Amino acid sequence: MNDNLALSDDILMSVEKPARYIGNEVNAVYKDPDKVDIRFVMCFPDVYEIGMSHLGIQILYDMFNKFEDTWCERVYSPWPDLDAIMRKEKLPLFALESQQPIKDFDFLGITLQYEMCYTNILQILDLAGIPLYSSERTWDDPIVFGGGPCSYNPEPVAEFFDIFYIGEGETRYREFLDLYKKLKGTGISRNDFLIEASKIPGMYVPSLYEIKYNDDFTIRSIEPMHPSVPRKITKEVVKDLNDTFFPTAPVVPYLKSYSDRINLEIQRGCIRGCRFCQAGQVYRPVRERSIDFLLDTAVSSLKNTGFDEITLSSLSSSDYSKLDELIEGLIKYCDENNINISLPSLRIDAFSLDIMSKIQDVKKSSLTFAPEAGSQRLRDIINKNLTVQNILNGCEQAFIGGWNKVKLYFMLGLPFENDEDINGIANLANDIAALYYETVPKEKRMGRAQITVSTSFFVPKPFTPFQWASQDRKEDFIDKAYRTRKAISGVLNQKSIKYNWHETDTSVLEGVFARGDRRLSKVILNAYKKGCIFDAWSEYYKNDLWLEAFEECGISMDHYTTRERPDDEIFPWDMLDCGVSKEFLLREWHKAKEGVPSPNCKEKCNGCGAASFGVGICRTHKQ
Amino acid sequence: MRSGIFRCWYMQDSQAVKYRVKFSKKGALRYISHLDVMRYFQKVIRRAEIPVKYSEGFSPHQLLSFAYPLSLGYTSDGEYLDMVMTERVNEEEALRRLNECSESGIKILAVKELDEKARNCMACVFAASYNITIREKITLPDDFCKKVIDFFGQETIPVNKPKKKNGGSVLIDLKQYLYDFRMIDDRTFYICVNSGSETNIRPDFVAGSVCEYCNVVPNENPFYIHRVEIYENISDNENVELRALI
Ligand code: SF4
Repeated sequence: MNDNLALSDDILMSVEKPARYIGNEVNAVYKDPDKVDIRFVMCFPDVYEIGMSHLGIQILYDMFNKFEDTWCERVYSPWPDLDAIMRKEKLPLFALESQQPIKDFDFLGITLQYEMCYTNILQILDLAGIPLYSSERTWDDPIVFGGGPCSYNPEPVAEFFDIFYIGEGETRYREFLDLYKKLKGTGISRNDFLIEASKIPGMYVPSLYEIKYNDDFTIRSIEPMHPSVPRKITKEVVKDLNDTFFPTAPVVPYLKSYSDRINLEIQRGCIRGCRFCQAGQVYRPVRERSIDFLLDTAVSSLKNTGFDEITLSSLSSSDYSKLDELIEGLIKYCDENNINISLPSLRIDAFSLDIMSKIQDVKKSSLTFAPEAGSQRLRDIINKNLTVQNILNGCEQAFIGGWNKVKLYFMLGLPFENDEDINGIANLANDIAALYYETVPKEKRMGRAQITVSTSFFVPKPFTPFQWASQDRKEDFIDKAYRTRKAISGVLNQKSIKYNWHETDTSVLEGVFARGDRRLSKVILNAYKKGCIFDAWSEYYKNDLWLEAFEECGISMDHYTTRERPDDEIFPWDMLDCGVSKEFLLREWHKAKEGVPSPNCKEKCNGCGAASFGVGICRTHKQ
Repeated sequence: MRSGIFRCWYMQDSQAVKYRVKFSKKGALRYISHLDVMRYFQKVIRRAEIPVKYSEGFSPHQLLSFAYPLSLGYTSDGEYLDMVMTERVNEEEALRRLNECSESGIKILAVKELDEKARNCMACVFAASYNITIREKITLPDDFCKKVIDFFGQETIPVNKPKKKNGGSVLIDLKQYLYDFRMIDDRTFYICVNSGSETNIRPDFVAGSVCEYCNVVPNENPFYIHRVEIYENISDNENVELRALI
């Protein structure tokens, strides 16, 4: 317990949800600062309730605090109300546990979960009193780390970070901390220390690479500026997911977080290889955790936290090889202890419906399908292995079982999309509704079928086969959303269908950053100075300021978004290697153009390159 | 899957026993809202493996009820909740287990079995007592203490009590709802006031009325308020006879 809070009572009483800033949660780790060598603070650059829902930080928090010489704390973005007060009163940003200024820490680790958090990174650095540019920092400042999915192309924010850790955090931090302990205080310059750090696998030190551009601002070359700095940084992979760090006593927030439950990661990676999906490529190869590990972890973490819900997380739960056994074990424990189980990302079939009927209230729950595209042609292009027949079969069984709510997720703006694909969305929703009325006799119906169609706009991501593709313009997005709405309102069962779509402005900006380069740091800084923060929150997103920022820096957004890249273009992230080779991705891009799907890793190995890690599913193929 | 240690303090004979729990809320945890305290207790009870009874259905919830919400920012030595257990437990042992599983800012002070017919704690609430401190940042007149004593010593204390809904206020005599008052120090006084569901005198309202009487301007966040106790009325006639909920 630490009652010495950094913020005064007057401040805490004037901001929304002061519990965001007081720490002291159950299972938060407190250490004696005099008895540790290293002070680390982990940051999720968004509001507390979102950051606290993130499993990755929980894993690293647990790992760092298991190191006796290290105390790892947490910090999240102060909400705009507190942000204004901290600036006015010149209060330094502090870590939740010790309530001490993070400027005095050895390390600040920031996870990059989505592109729209980039200005929040600057907010964190700024409020902490840490120079925004890596080049301006001294040994008086913490070393600023980046990690998480967006670090697979960290270039737009590269100049704000000292090091990016590429890949899974469990493997190399110990080695790094030892190097730090050995060298810090020996008189070594900060820059020389970073050169040493860059020799540890997975450590990308952006300031050690020189980027040269062509006249059209495409990249001519990426060169390490020091002979001992590696030309390519290969992502780090955990070899055995049953023998690694995983929290059994995660921190329990007082505030209701977005994921108010135990999050149990059953496997990492995905066999599917959908061509739009970055996670499906960069987390390869698929590695499963064992039933024993999962059941033990589930029971101990439920006991240690008191949560009344557990969710199984993975990119595609149905692909976990012993799912039935796992769920059977969980249901037994959870039933006895009044604990709910939630199973997102399940494929709907007889097996999953049977499970769902055991763990949920059928009347309230809904079926979720993510066909992503409205026609089989386009689903083959994106390599989404889900047919209309699969969906209708699943729905039919579900309707018989008592369900009447169906959620459908699609993307608009996929490469090679045409009118038929948009009509296909409306027709599929209509067919599902019609099937409900055919399948369920009037007297048994629980009201109308409730079909919800949601569309998001496709943003091409690095390390996917679509990294070469052009992204739609804002006008195309809006037009497609209107056409989808119109198509839906034209079908017979339109009254049973509800349509939602996501914003367009942020999709464009997300697209710029996703495939952006280093020239964008100045735009991000400019936008931040104009007052952009919490861009992921529509009520704070200021599109006009962003447009101004681009204009003033003389940088065109279209260069990053609408341009289809030639096959041999050098990408800003080409110094990184996620295991999946560029040749494989290019092959997939060409297959997409021809409309040819690829088998998944279980059916057949496609030789993506990830076998070089020698783990998970790739080993099964070798044997 | 409950642990064996816990089993031994169950007595096997009865079903659905009601218990009342008294707790304090202090330090940093005073910034946690009432709703968050409710969710917090659900988890404490699970961690402590207390045999609480659950409702039926797909998302069973614990049968708990809280006496009287404490405003965010207040501290308290007198918070209460009732819970239904599936079996009789040893009060001392339950107290120990709950404290082991709670952060020190929320401390369990007592666990007591209730009579089967006992009203739940929310229905019992009749009055509550508070220490109210005017913060240092507010300048007080030299004769503040005397004036406060004057205020509470009046024959009748006419005050305008804001209405719950649609604004406006109604003139009431605070004296009728005041059961105790004393000065604690230069800036702090103790009151015990009615907290029944109909009248419910809020301590910040009383503090505001005191300031008005003493010509003190209370700016932002002027008071520090500590709840001392919650009482029920055990009198069987018109008089008021207060007794703490435990
Ligand atoms: S090497 Fe083969 S099995 Fe391994 S991830 Fe790549 S495609 Fe899948």
